Amino acid sequence: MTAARNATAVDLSPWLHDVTLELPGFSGSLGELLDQARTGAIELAELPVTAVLAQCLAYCPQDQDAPELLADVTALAARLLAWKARALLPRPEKAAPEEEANFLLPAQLAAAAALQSCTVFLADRLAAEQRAYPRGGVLPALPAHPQPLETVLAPQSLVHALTRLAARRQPAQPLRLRPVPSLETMVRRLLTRLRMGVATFSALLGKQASRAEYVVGFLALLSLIRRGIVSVVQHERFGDIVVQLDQRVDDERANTA
Amino acid sequence: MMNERTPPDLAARLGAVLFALGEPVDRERLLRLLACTPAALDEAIVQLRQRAQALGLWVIEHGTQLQLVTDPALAHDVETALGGGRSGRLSPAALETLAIVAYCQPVTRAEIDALRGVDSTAALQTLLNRGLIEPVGRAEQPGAPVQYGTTALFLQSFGLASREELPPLPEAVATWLRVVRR
Repeated sequence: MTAARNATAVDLSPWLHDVTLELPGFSGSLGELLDQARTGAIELAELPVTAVLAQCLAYCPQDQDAPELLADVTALAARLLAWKARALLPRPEKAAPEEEANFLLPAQLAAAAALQSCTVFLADRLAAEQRAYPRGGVLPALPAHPQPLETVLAPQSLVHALTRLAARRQPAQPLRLRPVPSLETMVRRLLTRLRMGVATFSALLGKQASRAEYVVGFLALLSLIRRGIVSVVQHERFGDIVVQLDQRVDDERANTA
Repeated sequence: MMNERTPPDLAARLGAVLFALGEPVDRERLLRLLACTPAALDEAIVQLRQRAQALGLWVIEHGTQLQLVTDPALAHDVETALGGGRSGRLSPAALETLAIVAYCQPVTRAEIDALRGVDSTAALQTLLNRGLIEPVGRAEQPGAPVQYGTTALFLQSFGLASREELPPLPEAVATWLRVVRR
């Protein structure tokens, strides 16, 4: 059912019925516009509702109270919006006719039955054992499984190939790994830098710290916290850790030492 | 007096090339090897078919490929000479699947399933392993499923000179195939 057919008649006051409208593609009274909308002569989806209402309201007398007229305009606005909304809604897919639905199963059964004649033809050909042979009597057949690699390449060839590959991939300069400091060394390093006034964890480790140094540094920091030598604060998630040396404990440790 | 031989014609040259190669040979390759036109090759194929029959040989045509094989009517003699025939048994499911591939090729597994009404994975695998069908392309639809077609071995195993020797596709199958492919 089309949107135009959904449009039902609107009871308008005679005054509103005769309101003259000037719209893109239409010129006439509101009554004529609604009649054409109802019969589908104009496209509801293209109807400028705001322009229609603005022109209707322009005709409303401003100097006297006319609640019935305003109610008519409001009802008209609601009806026009409803029509346009229906017209703009996506149409549901056209449902398959019942005949088509009823056609599918018999068609499949008929195809299955007809297919039997094709199968029988091939079965008869196969039973007749009238095969054609290529020269040499070897029928080309696809291998059931992929050929194993060892039958394609001798193991020794593989070893040579791997050796050559490894030689090519060898780095030009030997990789030099930075030694990882011990936990004790790191604790000392952190305490030394804290006494020098460094206050954040990243600054304590320095800009060139490796991933391993970060790990050892974090373990050292945890150790210092557990022993009550430092306190830490992290103001935001994933932010830098502010480390504060407990001067009193540090002095005591220094005196003890 | 010397025995003068007439120079071999194109059909004879074609027969010699197909015999020597033994395997299916593409038409394009034959055109290059024999340096002839497609029309001349077609004519040579017709002549070769007639001459080969007298020798117990056949020219089979698989798509664009040609192959010289023995006449299926002489299969018994050939198999005796070769020391026993090949096992040609196929399960009903495999045979049904093969019939669909042979008649509807190129065809996807989903289309075969829709025609048979059951899953055809195992039957397809059997036919692939036997070399009777092969992937021939991919369908232009979501997922780009593999399309299957028959091989030259299919023609040899069933004693067919070409796919055109199959009886015509029943209208009911063609109709259902159109519904499935829609």
